[in-house]
Amino acid sequence: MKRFLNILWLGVIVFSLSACQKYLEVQSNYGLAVPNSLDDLQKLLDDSQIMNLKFPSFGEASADNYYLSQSVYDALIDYGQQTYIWQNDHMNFGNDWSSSYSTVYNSNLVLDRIKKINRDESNANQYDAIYASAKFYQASQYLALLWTYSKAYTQESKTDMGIVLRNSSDFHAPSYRSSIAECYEKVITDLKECSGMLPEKTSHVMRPNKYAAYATLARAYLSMQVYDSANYYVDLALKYNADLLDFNNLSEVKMTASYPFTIFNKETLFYAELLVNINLTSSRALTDTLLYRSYESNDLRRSAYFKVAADGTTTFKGSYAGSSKLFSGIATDELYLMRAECNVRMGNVEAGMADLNYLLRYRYKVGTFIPYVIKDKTEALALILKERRKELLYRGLRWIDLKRLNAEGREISIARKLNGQLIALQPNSNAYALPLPEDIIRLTGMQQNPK
Amino acid sequence: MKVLLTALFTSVLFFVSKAQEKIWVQGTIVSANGGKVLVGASIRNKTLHNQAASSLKGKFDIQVGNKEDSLLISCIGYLDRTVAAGFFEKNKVLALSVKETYLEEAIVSTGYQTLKANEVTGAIDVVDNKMLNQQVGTNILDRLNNMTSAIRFDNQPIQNADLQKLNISVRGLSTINGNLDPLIVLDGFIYEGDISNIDPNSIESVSILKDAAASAIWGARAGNGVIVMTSKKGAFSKEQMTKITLSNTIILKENNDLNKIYQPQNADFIALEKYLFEKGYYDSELLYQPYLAQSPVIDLLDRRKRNLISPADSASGIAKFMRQNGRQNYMDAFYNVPFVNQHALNISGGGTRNSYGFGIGYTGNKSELDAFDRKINIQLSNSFRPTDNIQLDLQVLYTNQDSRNGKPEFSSLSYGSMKAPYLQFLKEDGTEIPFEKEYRGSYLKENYAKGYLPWDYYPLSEYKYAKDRRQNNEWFSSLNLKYKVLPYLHLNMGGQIQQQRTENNELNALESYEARKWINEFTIIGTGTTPTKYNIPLGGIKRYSAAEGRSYTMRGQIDFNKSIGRHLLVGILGGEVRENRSNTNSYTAYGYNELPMSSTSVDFVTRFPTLPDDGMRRIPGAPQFFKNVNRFVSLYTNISDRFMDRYGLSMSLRKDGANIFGASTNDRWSPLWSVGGSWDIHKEAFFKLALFDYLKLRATYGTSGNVDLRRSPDPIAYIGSATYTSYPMYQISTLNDPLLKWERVATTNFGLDFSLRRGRLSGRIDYYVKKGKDLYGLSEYDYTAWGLQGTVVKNLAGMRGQGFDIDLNSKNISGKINWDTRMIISLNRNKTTQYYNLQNSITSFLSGGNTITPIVGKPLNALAAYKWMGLNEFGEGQGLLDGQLSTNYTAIRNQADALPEGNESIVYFGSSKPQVFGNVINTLSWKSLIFSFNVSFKGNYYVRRPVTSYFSLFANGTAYPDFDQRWQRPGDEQHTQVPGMKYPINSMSDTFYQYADINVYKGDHLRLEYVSLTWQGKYTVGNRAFNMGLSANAANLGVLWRANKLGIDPEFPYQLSPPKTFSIGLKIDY
Repeated sequence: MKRFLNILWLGVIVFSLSACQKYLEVQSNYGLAVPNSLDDLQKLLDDSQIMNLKFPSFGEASADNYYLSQSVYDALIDYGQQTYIWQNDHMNFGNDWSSSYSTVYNSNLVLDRIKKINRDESNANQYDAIYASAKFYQASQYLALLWTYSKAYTQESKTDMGIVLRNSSDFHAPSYRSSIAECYEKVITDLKECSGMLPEKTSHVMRPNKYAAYATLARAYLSMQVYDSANYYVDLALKYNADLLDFNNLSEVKMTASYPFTIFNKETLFYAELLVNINLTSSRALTDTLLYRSYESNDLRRSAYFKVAADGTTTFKGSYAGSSKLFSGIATDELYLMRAECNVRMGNVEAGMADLNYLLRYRYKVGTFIPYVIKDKTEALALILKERRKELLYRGLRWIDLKRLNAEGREISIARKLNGQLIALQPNSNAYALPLPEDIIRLTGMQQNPK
Repeated sequence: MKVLLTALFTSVLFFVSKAQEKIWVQGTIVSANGGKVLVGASIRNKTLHNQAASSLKGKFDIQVGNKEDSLLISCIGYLDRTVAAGFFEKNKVLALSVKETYLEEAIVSTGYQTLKANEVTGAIDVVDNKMLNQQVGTNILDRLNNMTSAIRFDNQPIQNADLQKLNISVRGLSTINGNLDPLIVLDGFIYEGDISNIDPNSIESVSILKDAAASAIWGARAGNGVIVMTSKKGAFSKEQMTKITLSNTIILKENNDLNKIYQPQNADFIALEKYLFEKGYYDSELLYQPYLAQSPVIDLLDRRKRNLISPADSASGIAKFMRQNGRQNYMDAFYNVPFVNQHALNISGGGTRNSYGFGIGYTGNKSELDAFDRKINIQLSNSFRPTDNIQLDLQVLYTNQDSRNGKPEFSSLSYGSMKAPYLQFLKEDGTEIPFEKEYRGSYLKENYAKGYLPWDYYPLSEYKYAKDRRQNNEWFSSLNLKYKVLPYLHLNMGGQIQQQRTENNELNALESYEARKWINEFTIIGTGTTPTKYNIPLGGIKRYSAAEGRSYTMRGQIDFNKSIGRHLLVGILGGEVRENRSNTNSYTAYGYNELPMSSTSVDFVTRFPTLPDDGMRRIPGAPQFFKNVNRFVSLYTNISDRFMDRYGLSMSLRKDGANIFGASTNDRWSPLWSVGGSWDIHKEAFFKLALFDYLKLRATYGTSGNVDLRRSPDPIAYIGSATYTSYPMYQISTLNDPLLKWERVATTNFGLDFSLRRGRLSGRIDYYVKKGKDLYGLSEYDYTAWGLQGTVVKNLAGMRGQGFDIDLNSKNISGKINWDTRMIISLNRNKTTQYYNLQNSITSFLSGGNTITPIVGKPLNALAAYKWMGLNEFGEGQGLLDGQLSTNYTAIRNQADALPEGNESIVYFGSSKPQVFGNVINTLSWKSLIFSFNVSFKGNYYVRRPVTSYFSLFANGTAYPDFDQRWQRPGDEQHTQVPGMKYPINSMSDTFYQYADINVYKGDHLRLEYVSLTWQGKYTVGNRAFNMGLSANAANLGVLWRANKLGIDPEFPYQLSPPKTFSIGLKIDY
């Protein structure tokens, strides 16, 4: 009997050691996966909600293209009110910062894990595209963060505080702020690296291609006020697609529809959106009155971009998202305007004006647009900057434009009118670098932006 | 159903009518203690297998074959006696002696083992059938409530439905993260189904394993305690007894009186709406989202402003609403009489070679809103003993549940998000008024009337067209083979299979608002020659989901039970594998028609223009599938040694493995162990205290651990479909943290069981100490590192908890009138002993004490509040900032976050969970009448009462009674603490007031849980006795006393408490 028992138990032990391990190897949740292969990493990058649709919107909410009526302001939640008057200094989790860094994390995760995969002839194209896309998404997000949380790029940028550059997906690595110069350096280096590796064409505009990287480089250089480089890269970007939407063509722009533009239209080079911001919803943000009046009656943008309410106030409906979401990706209209500005600033006024005229012809009613003939550089630049603001509304560009233009001494002062009083934001004020979330400061001990 | 019952009855009657013509014996049964006659004692003839019962005078007649026939005489509470039939020739009277030490009677089931109470070293509570029957209720948990000190029933809503399904905890929580439910075991196997599927009438007894030693045998999942249920079964006996129990219960519920919920007076509310309207609070919505539903008053004000109606129309319209009492209107129009009826039949019996049990139960439940739920339980059990060495047990449980929706809840009826106090449902002539819950009727009429289906929603009749039906079928079956290898060694092989399928069928006919609304939203009206396009086809909408769960367990176990000298060794050694599989799928069908059955396919991919919001949306409801497989492998042993029948020693060891996703191999296996000892002092020769009939000491120590799957070194992604592109995508759902350590909890338990003066006072006292290390908790972190969530799980704190579980029974009076009292008390204190992440902000625990307090030495769930310094002359609440009165709430909060300890602007109260709670049950009996009532108490804790937040008042219309006391003009600050209403709102001021110390109260209270009256009669028909019981029970009778002076029910502050229920039951045992 005893022997029988001994054998039985020996059997049980052997069984449990060998069979149990196998028994436990079955996947517990079929809807979960550990990303390991290149295909898996591509899927991380295809999570458009995190990679494309989380660009910071507090800069736009701080800018001057919109205003809030007194009653809307009164009914607004505290942090919305504070954002509006540039005093939002106690933001906690659930903000631009957390959204942008979730893109950064995903990119880092892809970059960390792709190191463990061998690049060989059979997978080189896919490997490079994934590696470069991760770099692209990260650099684009860093650039948007810099535009939001740091001052303009100036002589002081070697010491002025930039943002946090995360170098790996390890969440135990402490965060610290690099200087503005270091941050731009990182953005430029990464974009240059990835522009060489990204494919010419991708299956969707949500996935970046080579030209999107060039365009983003141009954006970065423009915000650094390095115009020759900006010009060089915008020129490269326009090689891919120089098409413009013709606002006269009803199949391209449905002028009477509630949202006239179609998502992924032919101007879109890379698709991205700003995070939904409570101040910028179409029921709150009213278009700056002077800005609206600056569109001439033959300018089709007047009706394509704006919805006029019963009381005469206007709201924005001209997003390339074709919905209430705000498009912040790259489109050819922006490229033309960048090239025009760079050319004029470099002294090629004629070339600059040609680009502007080319663009505006597609924006005016057929036969009504008389091309501008301007020879003076200052005058031309002023016109281009004005048209830039009018064309690129709510694309997440105005806040950095205000910073860089004031940095070169344009003295643009913006103001909010509340309770009959004006609250102004002085040019180059510290408030142009929005405060970091309060909890981030508390948890990391990093330095807050000066008030 | 009826046919089945009749057939059963006939067969049962056939069973019992096997009497033979022999001689008669008569006698009287009395108690040895005082000689009082015993009613209902059973007299069984072991030879002829017939039986009789003693009458009201203690007399009986029974047929016997001859004088040598052996008679077994038994009576509840007395020791059995066996005599030869000849005994009654010499003596007319037979005396039974009283069983004195009731504690030894109890049989304790751990699920793996059935033990006598005196063999147990751990802390186990047993709730027997008698206690289960004291309360009515269709769920077994309702019957356990108030019956044991071990289980705390939380009246607070469940916080996280993923981690918790049952709102109960055994001896508080042992883990903060992870599954919070105790493990439910039914007849030896883990029960994964819906607990409401268990018919309380089929449960014989419930054991609750409280300490580590008792629960360690169930492994890692037993961290939250184990509730072991044993169902009624037949027993092997030579007497061939068939027992039939029939019970019927009817439960009537009081309708919830909605007038108990506070809503502002109509005049105040309408004045507020006018004020906000004038201030422009609604302007942007009225202008830019004119399609959104508005309250009728706002609608009138807006139409007046736009000159669409005359001032007189607007005024008379508002005056009409002024007269409405919305809550009363709702109750009048919606409420019906709720009704629950429950019927059960149990038949059991057995011979020497087999035993059987059969039960059938029916529960019907109609709610006050005409929702209907019915449940049928069928239970079959059979045991065979083909030879003396082999026993085969087979059990099958089947449940079928069918529920249908009723009319909408009161809380669901709001205009957009606005709950107005003047709801109206019927016109004076009794016809229904459409209710604007999403969209504004006047706007739709103007813009989207022609070509669209009607947009009106009729809450009273919607349920006739929108039918929601849930069907649930469950099978739970087990098979166990016991082989007696040696007299002291048994081999057990067992298996269990469970299958559950739940189907939800939501059928919205074309007439329903739900279907009309969706169709309208996706309709594009044709112009000129283009026809109207219905992107959602005309027809009904069917939403379907099915969840299927399957689990199996296979177990091999060796039981031994051997006396060696003066030692008695009892033990088990076994292994088991378990798999738990679940599948879910769902889809929505459009253009659906029942007869002829048809549906139309739709495009789930394209984004279509929608109305009236001018949006672009996809049609929801594309098919979805989910699948989970959980596997467990366990090895376990439990050995106890009893020496000289008084010293006990026990140990248990268990190792569990599970297929935790992403976990490395080492983390898939967790070891658990415990040791224990016991000493029966009353059996010692030196122990000569006549006072004690029974005295036993117990002590155990055990550890449990928990590992979080986030310890995985790999990031875990869930698979989804990307926005816009619909590409397959991965999203990281949990952040990988390789540095997480195991959570460890060690529990020490000391127990004392005693019985005094022949059971006059008896009880159990357990004292325990719980020490937790590296407990998980949600912690703030630098989200620059990830961004998707604001908190992550970290090893956050250490804790020490200690407490007493006391269960006392006293026989205060016995004789003609009996008065028994049972008192169960739990004392529980715990505190944070270590805290690792000092950067965490305190704002989280200001809000309600639901997270671990970041301050060492404070209770784990401490409640804190802002120091309130009264109102200033502007009606604003004031706090303290740097010793000064301040209204800078942001600065006060920031300072408290930065320096939580010793901050003068923060007041600590104490635990937010009751530290003392329990019940006192008094039972009075006289003749056949038993009267009992149960009073529960909870104490030594603090609660926060909800107060008016102007932000939510403006947005949702919710307010609390303090609204009536609000500051209105300078000077009011002398006699009120309620801040004045300000517009624009400062939401920080709302928050500061809500979390101020003036709104924290002691939660202590006494509650009358139930009163019940039972009558029991015994009758004899032929030679068989039957018991009949009639019972009446009233439950949820409300708070008897509370520490707070505001008259708030601390568990349901300004909410509806569970309605009073009244029930009547009839029970026949045959």
